Amino acid sequence: MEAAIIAGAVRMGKRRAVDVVSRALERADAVSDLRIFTKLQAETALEAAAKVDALIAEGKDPGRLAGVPIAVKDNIAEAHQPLTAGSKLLEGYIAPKTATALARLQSEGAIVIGRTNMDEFGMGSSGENSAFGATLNPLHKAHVPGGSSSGSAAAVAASVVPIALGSDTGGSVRQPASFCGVVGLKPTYGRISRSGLVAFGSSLDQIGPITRTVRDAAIATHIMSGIDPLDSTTISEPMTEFRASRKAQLEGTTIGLPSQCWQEHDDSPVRSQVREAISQLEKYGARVQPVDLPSLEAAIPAYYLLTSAEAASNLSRFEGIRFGSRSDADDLMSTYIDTRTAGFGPEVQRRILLGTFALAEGWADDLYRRADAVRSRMRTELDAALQTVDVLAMPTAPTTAFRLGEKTSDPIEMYLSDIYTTPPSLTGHPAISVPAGSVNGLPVGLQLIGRRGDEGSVFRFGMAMTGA
Amino acid sequence: MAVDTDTVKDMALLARIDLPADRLEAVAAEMSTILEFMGAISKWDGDGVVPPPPTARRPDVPIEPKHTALIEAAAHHEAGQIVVPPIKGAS
Repeated sequence: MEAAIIAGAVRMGKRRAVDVVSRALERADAVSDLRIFTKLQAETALEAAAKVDALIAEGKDPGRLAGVPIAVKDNIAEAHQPLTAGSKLLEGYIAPKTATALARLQSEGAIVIGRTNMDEFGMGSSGENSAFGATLNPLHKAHVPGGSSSGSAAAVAASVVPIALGSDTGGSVRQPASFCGVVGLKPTYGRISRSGLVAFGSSLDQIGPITRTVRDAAIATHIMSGIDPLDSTTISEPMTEFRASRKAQLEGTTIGLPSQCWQEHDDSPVRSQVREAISQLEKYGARVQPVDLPSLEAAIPAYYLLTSAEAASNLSRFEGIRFGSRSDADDLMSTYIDTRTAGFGPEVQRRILLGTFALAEGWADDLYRRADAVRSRMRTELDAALQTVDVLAMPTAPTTAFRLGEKTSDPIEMYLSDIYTTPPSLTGHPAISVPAGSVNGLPVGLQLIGRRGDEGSVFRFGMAMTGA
Repeated sequence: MAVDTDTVKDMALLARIDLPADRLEAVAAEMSTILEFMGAISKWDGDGVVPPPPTARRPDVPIEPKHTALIEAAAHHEAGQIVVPPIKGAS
């Protein structure tokens, strides 16, 4: 059920928050074979629900998300709860504070029922890189749910919760949303505070909601957004206004189709399905026009060079002293090396090595500088294109959810899953994935990219697509 | 861009990761493949690139640290300090 409807019923006293949360916990138990959660928080969730019910009984308003059960990706901190980021290295670590984004949802009555599985430190596109086992796609258990916010997307798709928090560095909210047939938003960079989010690629990381409806995504984003003194990159500009309307009205609007994403020779089923979905938006009055974004072809190399470099730096803090587990060794250097070697999985080690190489003077720092130049060029191109169109549209991913194990032996093949989602991550533009039909019974996502700060437009077009 | 095993060893040391000798060849081959793919970026230069807008920063004004709350939230703390297990060989 939609979060807005649940909260309405709880606030009016028609449903008890305790009952809503109990049902969510029962549902989580029923689908435990999907490995959605790294931890369920039944006790604290029921306590929080009882407090919401008590406020209602006293005639007070618990907030816009009163009694709404939510799930939180296991790299977003909640005080006094474990936080693993999908890694053995952080086993046993207890977070000392709550992430600003989560605290804002809780202050509006949302109730965390559990922490969701994920690719280790956000590095992965399938959910298979978790130290705690791969999450399965609720719609087809032989297939991946996407990643890295695998558990969060699966939690919403399996109807455990109406809202789950993910984090998106290069598509980690949008791609799993696409694979699981739900809605996922990466907001404008700086829209939502990163305080309390385990850093991967700090200049791209953003927390974003995964929901069943665009309306819920808009509500959650609105609540989480705004300046935070704990994150100096948060922006003060308000989100553009979005009014939910049952009737899709897109007269006078223009959708840009980047020619690099819609090449003539590509007749893949996913592309055809997404193009058909865009035709529906044309029926509501939107006009489509091609746009040229040449730098998109360099998005994947630029993304992986820049994020690996940032990750190599960010993850240097995990040395066995301050966080999580520690390998027993005879001296300090051996403690660092043994802890990191035992704690990091193969993909994380691969990216740290790649990032260390990319930053090494005299070796590959030229590649890093070129990647940074591509990023600037891409930002300029997207800004220019979005002066002439309202949104850009393309598939969220080049394929539907692939089979478990299908791409694990080929890192480049796996990286190419992110080909459409990395550009707005590099440039900081908001982007949403909304369900746009299916191919062979597996969901397909339409990605809509808006002007920086203009989440309102991506919500508007997304809602026109989905009707909710 | 080919990477040899000596380079991989150097990178692993900088990254504080232990790669056993019998894995060096395989890692070097994999890194070479990935870097060759990334090398496609070499054709892009910085000509005509508009620098990004400066990152928004908060005013550089000292604020009262919230150390107390964080220290008290740590699993083990003593006399205003977080307690971590001792490391052998560390002074």
